[in-house]
Amino acid sequence: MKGIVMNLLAEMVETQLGLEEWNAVLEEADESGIYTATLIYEDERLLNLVGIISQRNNIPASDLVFAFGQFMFPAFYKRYPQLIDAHANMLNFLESLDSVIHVEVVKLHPGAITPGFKPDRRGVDQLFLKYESDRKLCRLAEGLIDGAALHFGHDYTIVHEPCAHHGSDHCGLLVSLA
Amino acid sequence: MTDNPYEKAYQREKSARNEAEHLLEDLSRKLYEKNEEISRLYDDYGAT
Repeated sequence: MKGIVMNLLAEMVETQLGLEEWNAVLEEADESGIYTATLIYEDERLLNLVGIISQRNNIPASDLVFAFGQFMFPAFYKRYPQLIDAHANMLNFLESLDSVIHVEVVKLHPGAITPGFKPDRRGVDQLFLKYESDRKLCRLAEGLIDGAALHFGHDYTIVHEPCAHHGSDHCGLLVSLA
Repeated sequence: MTDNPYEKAYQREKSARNEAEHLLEDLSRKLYEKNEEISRLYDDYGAT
């Protein structure tokens, strides 16, 4: 997991739950909290932090991960507007997601494993994303899509079928613009 | 914006770090793209 994701989790907790809460989470996780955006960290460290935040604040982990995805999109836009402004609408952006993530990860870490977002455009207003990742962070992807829809000003529907949490080897996200 | 001087200093340091990381991300992306372009050109040259 790229350090930028760890930094954004810190930012979300600090702004929404307070500096004290983030300090307490780090202490409970036995983490230093020193993350560099360009480095890669073990996925387990992020998942452990999410678990602790969820437990301490009585927020279901699934809701927390979705909210994190929503928070991530504008935070990414603030940092890398050129990667998003290059696209006229959300579906075009989502179609490019796989290559954007791939480049951002491998440019400094050749050979690093990146999650797969294989796009299948099914029409001007419809896109199917095949999400493949051992991390099974499909709720994060859903939150990111929700954040993207807000940014681009779209109403949309999403059908999540199949899901890796229910026995499939991948998740399918069918996104349709209203 | 907070009036707490320590929080202000913290935010300042955080912004400076974000800016430095942003610069590294941008430059490393450009370097990667150039390397990819060189590889493509090299392959094309080898194929002719």
